Amino acid sequence: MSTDTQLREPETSDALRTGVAGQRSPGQDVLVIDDLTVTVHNGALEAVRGVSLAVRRGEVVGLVGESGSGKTLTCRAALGILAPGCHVAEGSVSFGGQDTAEFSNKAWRAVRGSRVGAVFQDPGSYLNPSVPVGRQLAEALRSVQGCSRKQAKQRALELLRLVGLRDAESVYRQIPGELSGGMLQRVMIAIAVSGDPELLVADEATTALDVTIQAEIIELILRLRDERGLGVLFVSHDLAVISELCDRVVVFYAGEIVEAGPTEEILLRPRHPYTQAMLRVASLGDYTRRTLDVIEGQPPSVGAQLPGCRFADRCGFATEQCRTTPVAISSGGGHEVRCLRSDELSLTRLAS
Amino acid sequence: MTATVESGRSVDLPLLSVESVDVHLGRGRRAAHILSQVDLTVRPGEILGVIGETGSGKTTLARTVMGLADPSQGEIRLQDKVISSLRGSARRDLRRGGSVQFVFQDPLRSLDPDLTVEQLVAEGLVTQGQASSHEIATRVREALGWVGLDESLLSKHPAQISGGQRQRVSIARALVLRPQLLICDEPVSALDSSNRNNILRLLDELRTSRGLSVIIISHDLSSLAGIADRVLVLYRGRVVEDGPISEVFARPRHPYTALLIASAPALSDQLADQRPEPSSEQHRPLHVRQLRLVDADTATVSNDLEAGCVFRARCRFATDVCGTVPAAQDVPTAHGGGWRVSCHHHSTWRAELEDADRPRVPARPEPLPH
Amino acid sequence: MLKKTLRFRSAQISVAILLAVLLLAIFGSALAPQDPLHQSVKDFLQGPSSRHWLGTDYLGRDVLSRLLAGTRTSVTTAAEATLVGLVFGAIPGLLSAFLGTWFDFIANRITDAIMTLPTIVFAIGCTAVLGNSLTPAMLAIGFLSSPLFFRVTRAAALEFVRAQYVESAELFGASRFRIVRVHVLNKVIPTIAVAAAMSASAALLIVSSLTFLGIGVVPPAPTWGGVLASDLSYLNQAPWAPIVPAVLIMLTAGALNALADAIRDASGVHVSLLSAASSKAATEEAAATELTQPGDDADPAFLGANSANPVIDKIDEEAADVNRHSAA
Repeated sequence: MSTDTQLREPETSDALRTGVAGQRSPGQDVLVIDDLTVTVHNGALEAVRGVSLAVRRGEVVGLVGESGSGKTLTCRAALGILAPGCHVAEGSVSFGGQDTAEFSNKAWRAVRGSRVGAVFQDPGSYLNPSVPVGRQLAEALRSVQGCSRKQAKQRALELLRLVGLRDAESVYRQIPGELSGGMLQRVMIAIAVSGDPELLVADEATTALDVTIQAEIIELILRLRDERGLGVLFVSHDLAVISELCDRVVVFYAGEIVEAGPTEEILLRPRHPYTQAMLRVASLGDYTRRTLDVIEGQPPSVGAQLPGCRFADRCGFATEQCRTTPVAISSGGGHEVRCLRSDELSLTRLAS
Repeated sequence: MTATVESGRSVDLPLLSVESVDVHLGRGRRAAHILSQVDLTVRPGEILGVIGETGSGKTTLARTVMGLADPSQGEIRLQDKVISSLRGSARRDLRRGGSVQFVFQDPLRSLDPDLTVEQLVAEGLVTQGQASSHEIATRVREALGWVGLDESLLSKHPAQISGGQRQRVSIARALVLRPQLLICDEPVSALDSSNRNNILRLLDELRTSRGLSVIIISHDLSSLAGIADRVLVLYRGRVVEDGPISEVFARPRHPYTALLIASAPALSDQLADQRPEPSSEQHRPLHVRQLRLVDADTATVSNDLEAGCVFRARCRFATDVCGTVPAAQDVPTAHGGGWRVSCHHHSTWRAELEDADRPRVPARPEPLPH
Repeated sequence: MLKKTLRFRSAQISVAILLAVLLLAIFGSALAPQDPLHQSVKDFLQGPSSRHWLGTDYLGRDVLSRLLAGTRTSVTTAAEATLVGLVFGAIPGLLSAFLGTWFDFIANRITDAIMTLPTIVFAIGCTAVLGNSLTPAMLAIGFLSSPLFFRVTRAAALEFVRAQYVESAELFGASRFRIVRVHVLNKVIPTIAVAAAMSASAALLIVSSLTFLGIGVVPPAPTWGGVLASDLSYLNQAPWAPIVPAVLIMLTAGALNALADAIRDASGVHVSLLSAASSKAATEEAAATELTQPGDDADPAFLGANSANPVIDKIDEEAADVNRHSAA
């Protein structure tokens, strides 16, 4: 019995399920973010500016950048869970063609339950510490899909097996404190995919895990992508994880997208000096003794108003024009880059 | 003449040696065996990396060296002085001497939020109570200079500076006492790659310029590869491998070390092919699926560190003989310095893998049994 | 911290009220328009008039003068009781967190014992032994309030004793005294201040209940509580009378409480920042013990808050990061 058939049970929610499945065709955009601007401090500062990206069905898109670059704000805006004081000032987020701007709280809840799931860095803090994880998963199923108690339990066990928890029966009865971080993250993924969503948003979902567990979670996400056509928006500051997992990479710097394209393109033929610098300092599974490179300087403070390129002050290739002229994103062959000099520079991964 | 003898000795003598240390935390029925038979040495000017996953006991090891946890067995020596048995005022005197310093993992928690950077860095000197306030001010500024921080930060509070700066303040606070040994607990795990390399480079420079010995605790192997001389791999309270880092990483002798290295995120395969290949076929990197035991059941593992090899439940090479605790065995090294592995099959598992397994590796991750 | 506290509007008003009360305490007797003890049988229980602004009591004494003159006694007694409570409660509470299990155990048992003593009976006993005046009574009240200070201080200090910066200071070889002084005291003071404000306002009221029993205040000496108590006996004849002394007591107690709240709010940032502190080795230990005894040892504190909807309630770390960046 394939996992896919398992997930089409139970019968009660068949109507809903076929409805959703009917909309799904390969390559369709499940999430489209268009020209998104997010302000913080009640509109005082623009922390994310003009971000456009799309996640297609069966595709893992990685958002990478240093802390404070706006990647997490972007994905929180996509989930409609911005913290108080943060607002979407411009642009739109849409799921399968529906603009979320008109969503009521109720509509958001329905979307979060059935069309998009989310996983975060610290799985323990999203679960009630005194309730067995299986029951929490079953409750999520019952509230979102309205299955009966018995069906919910059965589905919960199937989901736990789906995410690679072999001994699902005993995990079902355990409280979060009895499970390791890796197992908790699997449970969170099970909850996230319980509504059979089209999109999984994972914000630093593997950052706190041990490397051996991280490798297993990455495999799990890839398997869900392949078997269920899940679109994944994966946020990480670790370029190595991104390179293992993602089909496409979006590079954030100081609240803007500086480069986006297929993973292989970005890693082998970076066209933005910041991407190249990140590749230079990242540890890409290279265990030879090497000089530890750094990117000199600090990123501009959040919301800083700069006339030109935001990376210019740290860039070895910056000219006077870079500092004074606004730079638009230019795209060619699916590889977008925000750099005035991207055509004249020939950057490689390892050159400095 | 005695002076010559002593100076001659101090070169050979390890700065820190931990010998057969066992640590139990908690009391009575609740006591947990955290470390078993741990040995390690750090020589002057050496950087030792300690790797292990959550719960492997690496933080407890550091805390034991610092005297924050007491070994139930074994001893810890600093040069030739036994420090693990010190108590009360003797321990306090040793701490005030400042020769061993600890840098906590999270500076946001280990730096008092109410103090300024100047007060924080000065704390050790003020506690010593010997230096004049003028001297303290000078040494605080000197220590800030070593870690590359500007004096304008002196009056700032920890919440007002960036993560990388806070970690530097933590290090400056330790360095101001001019220690011989610095123990850093996950010094870079909270930082992004650029800041991470910055801190690691700083530690490397301090080793060169000040002859400082450093123990870096980490769960991230690749950050250690850049600077450590030796690496010690802990698994569930036992040292499974301890050797020169370049050789361990090139050809790990313990299946767990091999699994760790293979699990670390790396460039995906087609990209990796474009890197220069290692010359020898033997050094071809192993794939994580060759090393992982598919139906490993870690939940039912007994917590008894004396009941055989600690890794056997997750080891795909385990046999009946692994029911006994493997003794640490010496492995020849190219550059000296000792290389010890605690595995019954350390010389045979790789051959087993190369003979039989490579063709069987599935292209996609295995579907899980139901 | 003082500056931060005074940025609150409520703190400014409270401080103004308390300063006014302090002035009354010092100059009250001098300001009293008439002799607070002068009785005039024909003027008893009068309403406010140009001669007696706040009317007269059941013996025809001027209420305004009695309130003004009584301020000093009332304030002094409340301060006395609070001070005694602080000395017997806060100091052992602070020590208890640092001096190890034995001191903690004994101090806790003594506290339990004190809490079983009935307040009024104990106060009567004290005045019987030490003589019937306010000071022994207030010593007794203060002593009985010490468990509050002990518990509150100990709980606050315990939160910081396990903080990593305390451990870090220990690694420098710092003495307990230095650790308390540098790292703990300033973080515990706001909590103690809240308890002290509460205790002071309670003491103001207790004076009145003791006056009912004729303990502490020897008539005819005026106090706020005494005025209130005498007015309460003649509610039928003068229903408006208790309002003024009651408002005075409430204003003072309210100002103390508002000030305490402001102190807590001003220092609250640190409290929330530090409450998350738990040592990493403890996590390791917990992880190890959990393997041996599943279910026995799970500490919810390590797992953080629970949540019905996993997606929604999480403090936005990035936003915090953003705030820090833009503040710098």
